[in-house]
Amino acid sequence: MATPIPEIDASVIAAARAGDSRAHGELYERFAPLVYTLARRMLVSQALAEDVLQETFVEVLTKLDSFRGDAGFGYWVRRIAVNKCLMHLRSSWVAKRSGEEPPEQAVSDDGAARLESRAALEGALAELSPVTRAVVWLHDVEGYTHREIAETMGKTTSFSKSQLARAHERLRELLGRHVADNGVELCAPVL
Amino acid sequence: MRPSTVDLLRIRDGEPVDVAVREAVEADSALQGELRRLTDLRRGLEALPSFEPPPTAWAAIEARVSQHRVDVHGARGHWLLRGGLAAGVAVAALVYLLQSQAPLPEEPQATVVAAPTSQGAPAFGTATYASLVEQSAELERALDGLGRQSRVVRAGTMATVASLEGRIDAIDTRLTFARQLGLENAAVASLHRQRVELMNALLQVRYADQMRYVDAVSESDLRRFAY
Repeated sequence: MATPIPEIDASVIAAARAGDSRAHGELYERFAPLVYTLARRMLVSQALAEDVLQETFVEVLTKLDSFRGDAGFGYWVRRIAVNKCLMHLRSSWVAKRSGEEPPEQAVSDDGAARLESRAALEGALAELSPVTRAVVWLHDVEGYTHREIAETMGKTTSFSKSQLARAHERLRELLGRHVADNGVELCAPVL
Repeated sequence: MRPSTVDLLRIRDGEPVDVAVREAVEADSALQGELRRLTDLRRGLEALPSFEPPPTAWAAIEARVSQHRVDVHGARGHWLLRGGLAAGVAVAALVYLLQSQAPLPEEPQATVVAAPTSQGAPAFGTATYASLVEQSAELERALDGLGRQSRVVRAGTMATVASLEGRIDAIDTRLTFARQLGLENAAVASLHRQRVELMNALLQVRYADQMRYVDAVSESDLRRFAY
């Protein structure tokens, strides 16, 4: 499931600010799955996602003083993580590596059809271009508005909307191909 | 007027659309099916499972955060004094103990200890490409000088060292194929900067590990002499 943004007690943040390593560990435990999942979905590559995880938490834990508390702590962490992912997307390294690693099959005890359709969706998502994938993930899963995506990426809202439409058209094409090849319905009740 | 995917996504997301667009969708079962498909697809994306972070990730983060603290203290001038004194004592102890007991390479320790205290974060900010490469080489020499890892290593230390070495390896691979990968100068410089930071962190971890080993040996020696 898309990782919900966890809550964290203000006292933990205060302790972490004071340098309490146990509080640092608690922040990591609480928010690492959110950051890592976001990075894996946006960047696909496990190595790059690990980079993002590490860079994000080093920044979070060394810049706790810059967290003002106007938005939730989790949103602050997520914003840092999204920016790290976008930095990777801008690099030529990612452009070269895009699609290099197949998505990892998540462990699940669901039925075979669900697993297959999920794997197909993960595969189709991984086949999108990095920027298109980032837009569809931020919009459809993380709940970013087009304006927020545009601001984060330094683009226009029209860009975000057209990328989202392009993502869905491409996903339809890729998933349609999967149905034709395997006869497994992808989007209907299974998902 | 046939609604586009952008129009259908607007309807799906509850955004305002032209009346004509809405009417066209309501009158066309194929468009309604497409709208359902877009809704299902979003649910499908939301339902994709989370990933668990790799178990060794935290150790590497912890090491880098500790390194950052050391750098900050260094920048404030405290580290120089405290670290210098501690390092001086530690070097003397290490040299004495390693010479008398462990077959580590000759005279590495002065370099070893000097490196962590002389490599501060502020230097990275102004470092040129050439100086980054030089720092990297210097740190490598210091690490070589440290010799092998102590015989008793904590699981956490081992994980940290493995993680740092893995990341350095990954960077080395990228640097090796920098040209084939089309990396620009800025990206290469950034990789060298990351390499210096990782090498510095690795040196800190390895050094701390050696110190723990020295402490353990000293304690054991004291006990032996007491008998």
